[in-house]
Amino acid sequence: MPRQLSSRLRTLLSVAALVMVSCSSTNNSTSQTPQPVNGGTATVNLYQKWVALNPFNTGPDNVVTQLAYEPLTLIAGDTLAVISRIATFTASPDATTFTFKLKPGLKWSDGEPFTSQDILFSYNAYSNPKISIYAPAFKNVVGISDFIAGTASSPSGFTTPDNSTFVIKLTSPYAPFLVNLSSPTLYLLPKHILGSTPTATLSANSNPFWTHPVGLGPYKIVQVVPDQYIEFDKNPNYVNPVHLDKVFVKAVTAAAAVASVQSGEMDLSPVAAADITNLKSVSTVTTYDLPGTSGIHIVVNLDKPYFQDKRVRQAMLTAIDRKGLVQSVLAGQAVLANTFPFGPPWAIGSDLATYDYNAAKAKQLLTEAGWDFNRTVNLDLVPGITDRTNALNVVVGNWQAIGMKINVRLIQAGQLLGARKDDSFDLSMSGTAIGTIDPDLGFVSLQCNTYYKDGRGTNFANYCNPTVDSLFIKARETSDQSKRAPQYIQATKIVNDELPYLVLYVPKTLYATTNRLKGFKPNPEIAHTFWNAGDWYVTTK
Amino acid sequence: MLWVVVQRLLVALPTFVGITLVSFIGIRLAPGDPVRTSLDPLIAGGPDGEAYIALRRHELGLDQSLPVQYLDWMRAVLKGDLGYSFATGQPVSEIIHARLGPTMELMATALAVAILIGVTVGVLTAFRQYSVFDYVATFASLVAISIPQFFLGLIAIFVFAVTLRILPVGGMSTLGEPPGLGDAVAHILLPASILGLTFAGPFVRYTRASVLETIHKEYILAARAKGLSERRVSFRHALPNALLPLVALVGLQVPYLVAGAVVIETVFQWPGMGQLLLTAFQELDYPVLSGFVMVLALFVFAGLLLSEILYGVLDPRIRRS
Repeated sequence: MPRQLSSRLRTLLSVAALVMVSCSSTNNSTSQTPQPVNGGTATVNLYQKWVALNPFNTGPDNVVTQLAYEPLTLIAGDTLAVISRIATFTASPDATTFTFKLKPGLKWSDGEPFTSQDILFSYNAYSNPKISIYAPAFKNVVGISDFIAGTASSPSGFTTPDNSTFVIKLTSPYAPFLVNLSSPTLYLLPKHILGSTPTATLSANSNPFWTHPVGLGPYKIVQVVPDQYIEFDKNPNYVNPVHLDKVFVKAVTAAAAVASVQSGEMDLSPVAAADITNLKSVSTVTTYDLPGTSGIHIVVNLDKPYFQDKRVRQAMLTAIDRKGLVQSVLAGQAVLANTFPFGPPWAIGSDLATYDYNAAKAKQLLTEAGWDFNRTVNLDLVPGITDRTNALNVVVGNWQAIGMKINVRLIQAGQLLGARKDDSFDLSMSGTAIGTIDPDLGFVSLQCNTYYKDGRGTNFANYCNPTVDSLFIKARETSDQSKRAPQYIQATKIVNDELPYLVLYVPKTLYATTNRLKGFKPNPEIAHTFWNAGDWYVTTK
Repeated sequence: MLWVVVQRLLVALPTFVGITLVSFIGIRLAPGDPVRTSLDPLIAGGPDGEAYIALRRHELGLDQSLPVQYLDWMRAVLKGDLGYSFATGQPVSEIIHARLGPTMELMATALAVAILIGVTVGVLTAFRQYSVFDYVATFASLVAISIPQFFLGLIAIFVFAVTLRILPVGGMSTLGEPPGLGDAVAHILLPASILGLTFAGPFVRYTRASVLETIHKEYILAARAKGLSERRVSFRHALPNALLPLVALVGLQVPYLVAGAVVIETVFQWPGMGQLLLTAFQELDYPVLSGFVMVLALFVFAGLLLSEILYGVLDPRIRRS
């Protein structure tokens, strides 16, 4: 009996500790963190099939390469802060100079020493727009234009004072620079192997290096079996001790992934909202749900005169039963956002209009704004994602209920972007990075000179408010969060009122793991699912 | 017999060219653009997007007219070159070769299951016509034909892998474990059984009809009149003649088996041609799709030819004619 009591007491204490520690994510794992066990194998699911294990690629390729490569900086899943596992870094107060000091004794997976020359080589490659889609992240680096023009072999803003120091200088203050450097992840490449590869072929999928790479990551690729799996062995030279002997990565359908996690054949998989409720009741499975970093929104083309009165946009958002939509379409696995960007919490004020569902108020607002109820407006969507198509049906129904005439156009991604490019669209529904990690990530969708139609950015709505621009630019001038916050709070309040984007919902990021997999820390950004793979371990082999 | 084979091959050749032509054009008329599909939408819509798309189209030969593209492709095929995958850059022949083995393994096992169940049940129902067993088996075969394979597959996964945990959810082997016969059998059991079960239906019905027709023939009556035992009449005289038409049925089932394999391989993550087809469709990977159709056509021809040859070998009447 005393043993039972003691056990119950421990359980109660564990639960209490869990409740205190965990507020944003809910999972049914035990709160005890036993010592990591070495050895064993884990099998994980990639959300989509990989094409090539090429770090220059986006999407699933960028996700899976995290197992074999290490970036200089990355976004930590638990804190959403920029961290580095291989260096310490400092930013100058004016946010123009970033200095990285490498930890001593770092080695590539082939045993060769890792130096700041490798970082210089990697960043030269990533900042080259001819071979890298990540080049825009480096647009503020000193000397970047000479480098792009071919008159310099490297931007003069990249310097290596010694083999363990790397410095980046920017032309103007830009506090979120490190965030841009970390998401998407820029993996470091070995100069001693790739240094002799011609620049033009370096980033090609056909580069044979990608199938047997040398990296700084926690694991080494053993073999890639097309359409089946990728086998990784642990990298004994990793910066931290790696616990697992092997990791297998597969890319299976959602249904197969859910079944495999339940049967114990797969240890980790992102899961859909429809499956999470069922998985939560499975005793052998641990589930994680946390606010996502991407939202689903409707872009309003503000070049169209009939959308220019903000009361029209306010009416359209008020007319949508978003709470009902989230319950019916996403089984409640989403949060509502009323402004853009939406997060992090320190950047968003508490006095935003919430646009609660009210059809009568919406119709009144539309009437006051002089809306022509005989006008038919197009609403574009790329079909294929069930949640979005279902959400669209709810939205159209709500708008028709207040007398709006909507013509739904289900079109290809290329056509949707084409309509945005030639400015012919009225409304289009799509997903977007919501700015959870840093609010500045949303600026490119709001700034006056980043219109998509001009090929300058992702301002699809053709929104322009000089006050918003000046607030965002001012916030870039300091890396002090407390000084940046007031600008963002003011800017997002304005956007909350003017609504160039009607944000419908922000789906939660959902994962399921077997209970045997420990050390997994969920990252709200699915692109960083494997961010702490070196810490994973299994309790049964 | 040899002349029959030559005749069939001569007929097959233009048919084969026709199939490649129709499929080549059909695949390219499908909605969607393989270059845009493979690109990040933001890059495709960015300032250099159109120039990049044009360059990529040129690299892949998609800026040529359809007849030129077809002739180029056919010329390469005749040299044994099926081209390169748009998505991965790998040679198509390599991609198909890697997946042919698993698909053949699945199809052969499924066919064996289908024949074993189908013929056994078909014969028993014929010999026990209008019995309870006959009604139940006939109804079950109708159900097996009617239920979608993916549904049966998901049910089987739920029961045997998720609930009972006695068989794996999918794949060909347990990752991280040394390969072994037991593991291989455990992995093929569900997909091959489901595929085989759905194909057993036609075999049950054909066998039943054929046996019923045969046992009412005059030579069976004559055999009985000679005083032969019922067992000898059935196994020596009735069955060999009744089962002969099934040889043709096996050949005719090949295309359906491939189609079934596409579904089953997807449900059970079986790394064969079916999964390849699905992925190639999603990525609009024209060379892989064209290569797939060509290999499928070869399969069907080979299946039909083989059944015709077997028919000739087994039936002296056909051989003589």
